[in-house]
Amino acid sequence: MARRVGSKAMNKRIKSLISICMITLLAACGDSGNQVKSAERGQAPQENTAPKSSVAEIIAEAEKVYAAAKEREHAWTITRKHIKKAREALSAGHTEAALESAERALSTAQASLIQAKRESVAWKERVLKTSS
Amino acid sequence: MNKSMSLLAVSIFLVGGLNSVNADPEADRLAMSDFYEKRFPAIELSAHKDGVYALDEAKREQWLEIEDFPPYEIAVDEGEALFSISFANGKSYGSCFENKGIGVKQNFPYFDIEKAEVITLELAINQCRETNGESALGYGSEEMGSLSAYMAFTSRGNTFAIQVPEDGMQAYEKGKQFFYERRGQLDFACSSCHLGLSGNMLRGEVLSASIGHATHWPTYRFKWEAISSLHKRFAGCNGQVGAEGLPQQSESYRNLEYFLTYMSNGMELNGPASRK
Repeated sequence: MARRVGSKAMNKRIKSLISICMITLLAACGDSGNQVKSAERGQAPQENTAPKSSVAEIIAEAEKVYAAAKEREHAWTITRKHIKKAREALSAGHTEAALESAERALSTAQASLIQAKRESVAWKERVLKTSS
Repeated sequence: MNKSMSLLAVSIFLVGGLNSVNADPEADRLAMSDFYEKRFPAIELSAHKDGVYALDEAKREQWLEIEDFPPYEIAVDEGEALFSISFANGKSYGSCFENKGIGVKQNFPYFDIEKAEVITLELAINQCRETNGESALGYGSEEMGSLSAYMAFTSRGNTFAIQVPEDGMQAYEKGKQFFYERRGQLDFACSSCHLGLSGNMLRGEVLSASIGHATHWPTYRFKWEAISSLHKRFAGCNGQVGAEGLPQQSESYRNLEYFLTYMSNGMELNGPASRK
């Protein structure tokens, strides 16, 4: 009986130890993630890891899709803001930040074009019908 | 085989046609009137000419007090003065409009069959200037706001009787499409707020009904600190849902105005007005 109590206490200690280890490990991972992010934000070497040419290509693609959405009168204001931010960051040499904005510009431009295509048909479903 | 394919194509066309939305402006207007009568049974349809002030008694009280000393009064006076000035060729605005331009706003917008486009009052003012050798005014300019305010003021109490000729059906339908199309990052249509959510609160504001949206323009908005047009409001609404607004007097906004004004047929004009 006393043995059982002893082994229970031991198990409890082991469990506590494992929990502490896991928490420490998670905290370390989180911290390293933050460190990477801080490095990305700062002027560390990671700042310019994205090739400038590919960022420029994404911006060009975003502008193309944005123009197509604008032509259909479905452009989103957020796309224009991201394109502007991407261009500014690229010319300042912050390619990672430029890449992030360019990708956001492209994804919002694509979403606006999808919306334009969907709505060219979907609007009909919303029209009020005369009740009989 | 070819015959059966043709029959199938004809059937698809017919079914598609029958399944399409109301192709009759009057059916659209009646459906919208019916919708608001059911949504706001205690409110007369004609009361929606006051927009949100038909729906919120407290806000109406405040608005009526503002109307004692209306902020658009100066614009009306300035508009009257501008309206009476002769152009360099000796003609005036009055020469371009029916009844010398007095009490005619209820006829706008209309579909010009020759030009194959919707003509709004603001567009007609600029066309008048250009015909008489004057430069066009900016649509967001103070002069345009004042001239249209004066013309609206002389039309108070008249009722809309907008016509949609066969040639104008496409413009009307495009305006209707714009009204029901979702746009912007928030994925909202004009109808999302002003039909489905009308009468509800959006932050501190009550959403007005679409019927009556065309009756009170131009409007002095305290937010703008100026009198301006329905198209400026359209652009503002588009911006609020994350959509890029269009230029004032763009074809799409004129078509939208055409549709909305038809929805207000039979309602009294009460512009210019004041709004928050």
